[in-house]
Amino acid sequence: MIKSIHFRNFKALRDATLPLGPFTLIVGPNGSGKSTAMQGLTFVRRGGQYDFDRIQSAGLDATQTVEVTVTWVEGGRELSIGAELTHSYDRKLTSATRTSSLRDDADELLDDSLDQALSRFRVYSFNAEAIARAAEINSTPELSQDGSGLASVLDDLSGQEPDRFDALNKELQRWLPEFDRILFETPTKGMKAFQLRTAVGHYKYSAADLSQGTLFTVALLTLAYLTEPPAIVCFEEPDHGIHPRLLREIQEGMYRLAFPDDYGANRQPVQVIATTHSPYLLDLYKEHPEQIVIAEKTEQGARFERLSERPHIAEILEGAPLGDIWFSGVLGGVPANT
Amino acid sequence: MKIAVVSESPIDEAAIKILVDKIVGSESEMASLRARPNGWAKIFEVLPGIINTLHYGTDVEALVVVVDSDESPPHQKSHDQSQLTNPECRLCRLRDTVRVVLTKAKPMPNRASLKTALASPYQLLRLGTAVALTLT
Repeated sequence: MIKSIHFRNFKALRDATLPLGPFTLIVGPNGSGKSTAMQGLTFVRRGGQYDFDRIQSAGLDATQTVEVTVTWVEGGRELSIGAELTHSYDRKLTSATRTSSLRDDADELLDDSLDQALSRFRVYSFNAEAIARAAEINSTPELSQDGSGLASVLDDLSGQEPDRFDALNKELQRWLPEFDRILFETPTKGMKAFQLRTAVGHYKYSAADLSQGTLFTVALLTLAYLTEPPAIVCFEEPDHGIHPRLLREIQEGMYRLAFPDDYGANRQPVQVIATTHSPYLLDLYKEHPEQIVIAEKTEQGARFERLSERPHIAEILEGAPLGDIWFSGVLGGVPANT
Repeated sequence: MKIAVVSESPIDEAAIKILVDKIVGSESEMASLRARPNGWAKIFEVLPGIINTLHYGTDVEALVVVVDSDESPPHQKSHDQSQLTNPECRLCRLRDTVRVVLTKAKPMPNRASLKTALASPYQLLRLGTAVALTLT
């Protein structure tokens, strides 16, 4: 599991450490580095070329390097792997240099684990149109960042893992009681689209006719039922377009990914990182301040703080809903006053 | 002086800032805190958390809370006697809420107790009407 990510001169993150756990919900104003932090993971992953001027924090001279360091913890051991980008006077695009705290063979194993996890890291920022789009059938279907490919993923799940697909349908009924089954249609040869069948009357609704919130819900729920979901998942505003009454289900979907044992799911836990601006979603985490990270914009750049590390957090959270306290601004992580 | 202000609107805050600066006699450093849209009721819900955060986690010296009185009974001098506190009066409620939280708060080293200024003003129009009626 990634324990933390340290950023130095990386866009809005001049000198910031993002603490992470099995599940982390980051709240903060726009421009406080939430999405940038997710880009940091991609940066550390091997490969890729970057325009130094676009990556380096604004206002620094060219000698200041850009660094992102990921600290991985496994079996009580820790390993730090990073990427460093220096300015090149010859080329616009340069590759990041790998840095690491590797010492022995055991560290090599940790390094492999981290590499595997990073290669299976996905950021999801769902788009209704993409989710509803018909998808090409292939042997290794995957849900894309915007949710495209969902029909193919569902089709594969129904064929390869019918029990799991049935369980997904049951959970869908609980989340969205107006529907009772995911069905498929073949718009053209080699393509699949999905439909939802109504519980009453068994009418079929094509994905393209479903609401944005329904599509986002199906996409998130599907991820939670995959046999091999990505190792690290980031959801950008998973509450977007979702009715506040469904937020507990969204929370559950993310928990199902992060804590599979609690749901009787037989697979490896997924490290989940989510971002939100919703006080309603935040309300659900009052009992888990260790899962909340406040992102804050300061004059020195953005910074992160785990809520449970605030002194006297129990007294602070006593009585009022967490979303209310955060919204008031007293915890930070809200837009500057206008 | 570092001051936190809780009110129902940014317009209130601007007016409060002018008042506070005049009373304190210098330019205050002011943090504006907002309640989730639901008016005065939300302020009462969130106030204990705000007071505790300010007390335990900041060097803010004073808290100003302004809650609209709307249709609630106006505060009377008689309410100031503890046994005559009116639960319907928002100023009385504000005072009670703040007193309970600050009484429970553990003393912090190098930190004086949070000063508070509480208000539940009547709308100017209603006040003007009341004055006009009294005059007639």
